[in-house]
Amino acid sequence: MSSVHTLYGVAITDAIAKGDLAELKKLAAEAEAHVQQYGDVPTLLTHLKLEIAKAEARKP
Amino acid sequence: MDTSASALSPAPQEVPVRFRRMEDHHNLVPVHVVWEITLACNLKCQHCGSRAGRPRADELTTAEALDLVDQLAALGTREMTLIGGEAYLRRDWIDIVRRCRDHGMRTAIQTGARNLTDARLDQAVAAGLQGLGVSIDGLPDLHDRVRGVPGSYDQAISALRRAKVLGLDVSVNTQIGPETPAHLPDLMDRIIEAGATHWQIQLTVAMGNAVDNPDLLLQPYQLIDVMPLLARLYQEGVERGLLMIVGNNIGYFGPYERMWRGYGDESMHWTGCAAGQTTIGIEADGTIKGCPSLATSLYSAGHVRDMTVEDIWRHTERISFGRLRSVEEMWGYCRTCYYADACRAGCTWTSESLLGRRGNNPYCHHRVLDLAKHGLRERVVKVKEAPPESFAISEFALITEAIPGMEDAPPLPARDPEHVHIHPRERAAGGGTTPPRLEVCRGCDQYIWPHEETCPHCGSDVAAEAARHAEDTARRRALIEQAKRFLAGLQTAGME
Repeated sequence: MSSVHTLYGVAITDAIAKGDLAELKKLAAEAEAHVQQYGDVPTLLTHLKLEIAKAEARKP
Repeated sequence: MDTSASALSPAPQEVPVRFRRMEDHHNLVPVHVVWEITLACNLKCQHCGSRAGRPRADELTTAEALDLVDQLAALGTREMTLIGGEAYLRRDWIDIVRRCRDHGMRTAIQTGARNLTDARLDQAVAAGLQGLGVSIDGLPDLHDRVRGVPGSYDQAISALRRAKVLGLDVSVNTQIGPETPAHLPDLMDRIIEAGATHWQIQLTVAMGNAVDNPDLLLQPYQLIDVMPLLARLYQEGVERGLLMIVGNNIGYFGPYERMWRGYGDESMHWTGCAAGQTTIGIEADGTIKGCPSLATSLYSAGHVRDMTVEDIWRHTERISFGRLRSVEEMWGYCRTCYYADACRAGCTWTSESLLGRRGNNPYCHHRVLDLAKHGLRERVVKVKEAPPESFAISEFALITEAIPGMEDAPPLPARDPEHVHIHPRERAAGGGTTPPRLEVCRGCDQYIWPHEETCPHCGSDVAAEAARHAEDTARRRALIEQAKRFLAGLQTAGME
C-alpha cells in the first residue's frame, strides 16, 4: 500500500492519521474528557475507602 | 509473483481511493488522474509552471472531454482532480464533474478560487463534486504578491469556508519558497479556522514562470531548517484535526519519512516517482503525460485525438519511462545513495526541471543532512532562461560548497555506485512491477533494506532491535485494547 501526492493535484482528503501514537492520544483525550465530566475514579475510591476506614474505626 | 492482492492489502472501501494496491501496480491502473481542463486562468501566479492565462487554442470539445472520462473509467481510474488554469472557467466543467461522478470517481478541483461564486459552488455540488482544494501560499501579503492579484488570499479563504458549509472535503495546497516557512504556523491556524482538514505541502519547482522568478525557489540547503519546521507542524496538525500531506517533492528517507509518508503507518514510505505507473496528467488539448507537471516537450506521450488513452497509456515510450528505468540512469549524489533503487531521485519533475536531466535531486533531506555532516551544502543558480511555452524548463547549475565555519569537517567519502543495492523487480503479466519495500531499523528509526542484519546508519543489530520493538509494540497494543474496553464500558454505563 502506498500513496502518491501529485503536485498539481488536490490533497488527498480521505486519509487519516494512523498508528499507535495517534490511537494512544485519542484514547488519552477520551479518558481526560471522562475525568473532567465525571471525576477521577481512583482518587474518589481512595477517599471513599479512607472514610470507610475512619467510620469503621469509630465503631463501638 | 503473488497477484492475489486481497491477501496483501485491505479491501478498497477500507482505504483512501488514491492508495495504490498491489494489483494497481501489476495491472498498470491509472488510479489518479490530474486533468488541466483549460489553461484559462484569472490569477497571474509568479511560479506558474504552465504559464496559465489564456485558454489553449485547441482545447477539447465537450464531446471529446466526456469521451475521455469514459476511457479513463474503463482503465480503472478511481480519482479525478480537475485543474486549470482555473477549471471553472471552462463552460462545461460541471458536465465533466457529473460524468466523472457517474463513473464513481472521487472528484475534486484544485483552485485559486478567484471569483469562485456561490452559484458556481452550488452547481458543482449538485453535480456531485466531492472536494475543493484551494492553493494558498502564505499570509495575505505574500500570497497576493505571488498570485499576482490583490485580494486573492481573502477570496481563497472565503472559498474554503463556503465549501465547508456545503459539505465538501476541504483542503489547502501550499507551495514553499524562501519566504513561506515563516508564514506556515500562522497560515496553519487560519486554514484550520476556515475548515481545512488536509494540507498538502510542496516545494515550488523551477518551471515556467518560476524560472522567470528564481527568487521564489528554495535553495536545497535550506531544507535543513524547513524540514524540522514541517515536522513540528505535522505533529501539531494531527492534534488539531489537520493532516499535513507531504507532496511528492518533499523527502526523502530523512528522519521524518516514517512519521508522515503513511500518516503514522510506517509500512508506507517513498517508493519513487509514480508518473506513468499509477498516475496520468492531461493537458487541455488532450495531450497525455505520465504526470500533469512534467515538461510537455519531453513527456508528451500522445494525443487523445490521435490515439486511445489505453494505447497511449500501455504502449508509448514517453509514458512508460518510470516503469522501465533503473539506477543506471541516475547520476550525481543520487547514483551512489543508499536509497537509490527505492527512491529513483524523488520527484522527476522537480529534478529534471532544475538540472535538465532526471536522476539527481538536491531537494532531499537525507542528502542535505549527509552533506552537512561533511561540511557541505548545495545551492542552485539559473544559467538559462525558460522559453515562453507552457510547462517550459530551463537549466540551473548545481553548486556544492563548504558550509561557512565547517571547513574542517570530515570529507564526503567516495561511494562506489556498484555497491548500491538493486531490488529485483519481476514484471507482472499486466506490465507493471511492485515497488520495493523497506523496513525501519528500530535502533535509529531510519529505513533500511530488508536484507540488512546490521543497520548501515546506526550499526545496531537489526534483529535484536526489532525484537525489542516488538515487545514495546505488544505492550502498547495491549494498553490500547485495555483503554478501549475501559472507555467502552464507561460509555455503556453512562447510557444505562
